[in-house]
Amino acid sequence: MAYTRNSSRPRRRFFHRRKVCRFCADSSLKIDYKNADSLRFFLTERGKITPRRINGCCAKHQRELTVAIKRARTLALLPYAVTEG
Amino acid sequence: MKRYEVVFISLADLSADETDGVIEKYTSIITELDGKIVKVDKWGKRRLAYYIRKRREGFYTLVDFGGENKIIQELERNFKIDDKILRYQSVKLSDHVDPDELDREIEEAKQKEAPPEVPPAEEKPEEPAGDAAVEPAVEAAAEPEEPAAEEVEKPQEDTDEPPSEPSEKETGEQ
Repeated sequence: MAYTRNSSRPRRRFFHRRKVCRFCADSSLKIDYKNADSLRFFLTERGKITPRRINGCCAKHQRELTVAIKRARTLALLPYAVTEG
Repeated sequence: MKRYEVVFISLADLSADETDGVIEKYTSIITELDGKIVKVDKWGKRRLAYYIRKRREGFYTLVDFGGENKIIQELERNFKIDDKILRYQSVKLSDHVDPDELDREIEEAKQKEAPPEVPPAEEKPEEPAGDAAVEPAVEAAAEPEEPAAEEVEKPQEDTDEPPSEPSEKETGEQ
């Protein structure tokens, strides 16, 4: 009975692939605020930090990442905002 | 003893001597307050990601040292006053560092920088700590050429994991 009730819930239409945190997968990768080029990968074109659901980081590394990005921002290694035009 | 890392951005339009003078000024503050400088890394002139005081370029310097809290206070007080400093940031790397270990690290860094020299470790078993703290700073200042930007390779995201578990199956218990 319980099962049928569950299956009647709107199922998620998208099939989504479980992403693996790249920092967990490869321990040689270090999150470092001095290495701005590697952090740039986790920014949008506008300079925002990408959310976890996009970049697939685990909570722990996302936290480290945000701190590193913010440090890089104060040193003007990364932009706070990219405004073009 | 704590381990700190301070990055500061000085004006890009200073001459080489002037920038050296700026760096010298702050490293001397550290050594005067019994800090041990592990390395002074000049990243050189870089383009800033945004304007700071209407400037788009800055000279980055990183100083890695061990010492007490008061050094940071004194450094930051001076950074605030100094017109030549555009921006600074200090980060504490660890709370408790063994001073001897720092000495060892300083020695290693020194040997790496000057490999042709014969290590005089056997001749002088005991070296005063003050000396060891001052020397690497001078040496590092003399050699600005250093491969500063190491690139971290990133694996492309190709870990195609099959969906492991059908997510969210509630067991209706009500």
